[in-house]
Amino acid sequence: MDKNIRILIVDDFSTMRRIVKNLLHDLGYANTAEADDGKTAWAALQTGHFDLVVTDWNMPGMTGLDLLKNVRADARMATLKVLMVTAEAQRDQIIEAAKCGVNGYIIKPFTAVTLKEKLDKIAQRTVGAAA
Amino acid sequence: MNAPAASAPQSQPDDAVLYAGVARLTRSLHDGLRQLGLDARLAQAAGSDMPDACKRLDLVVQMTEDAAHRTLDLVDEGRAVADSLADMRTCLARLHSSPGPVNGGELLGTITAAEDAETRLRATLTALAQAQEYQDLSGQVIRRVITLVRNTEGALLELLGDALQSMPQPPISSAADELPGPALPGMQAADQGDADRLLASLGF
Repeated sequence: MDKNIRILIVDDFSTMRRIVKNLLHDLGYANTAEADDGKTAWAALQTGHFDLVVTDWNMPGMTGLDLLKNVRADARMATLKVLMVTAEAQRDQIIEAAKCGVNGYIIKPFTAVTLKEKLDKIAQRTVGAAA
Repeated sequence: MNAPAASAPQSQPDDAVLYAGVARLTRSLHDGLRQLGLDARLAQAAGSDMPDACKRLDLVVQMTEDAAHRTLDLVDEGRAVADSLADMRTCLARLHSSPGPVNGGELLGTITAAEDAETRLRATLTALAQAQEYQDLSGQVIRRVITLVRNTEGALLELLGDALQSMPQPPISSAADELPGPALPGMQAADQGDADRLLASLGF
């Protein structure tokens, strides 16, 4: 994936945002911004261009799933990829996220290797779709 | 509009019986609670223990967040040490490959830089170990809250008594629309491999 893509990291815990940001930087993705819940993320998506959203699910205000639904309902964000990074590990939830159009699902706690795998997979699919 | 007035005298005796019955039950419940000491225990739990427990758990959240940030700060310091080690490696490689006698001043400067990096790394590792002390403190707080929850649970079970056994099923543990959150030991939940296989079966 192009390392210059603009990534929005969404999590209500500042430590998790920092960990994700550090891991992304280690993988070469330095163009990141942060939001502390779905609402602030949605506002950021309205005003700035992003290529990828890495979001938690369970957050006050607006959940990551509602953020995903909003993104998928907005034609302007048709190419925006959404990677869910969450502690929600029930089968039903994973299926629900898939039905809502998530591009990847990572269960917390996770490793740098898993994050890289999912980013690579999203990149492969993006290239495949464009070809 | 006389109809309601005409029906009122008929319902009054029933109401009076009902009110008397409720009053009797309330008195009986109150007496029972007082005899068992349950009212005092429950009042204590609801009035002060629970709010206190919430404050303590808020403190745990803050404590763990502070410790995580402190740890991440120290990791950043560790990265800076790694960067200076890389500089030393470059310098030593250059000295090694340069023709003629070794530049003593540059070599000494590298040795000094290595000493400095060693000192910084040791201090960072010590601070990293110290930053884990939150586990002891937060663990103590959480244990106190567990004791409170167990005591309250005991008082509620005594209060419910036989009624609990006749219940068709145990009470629902959480609201239906609440997310399950992190998986607990023994809880059925997917790991990353399960999630990957499930998504693959859905065409992801």
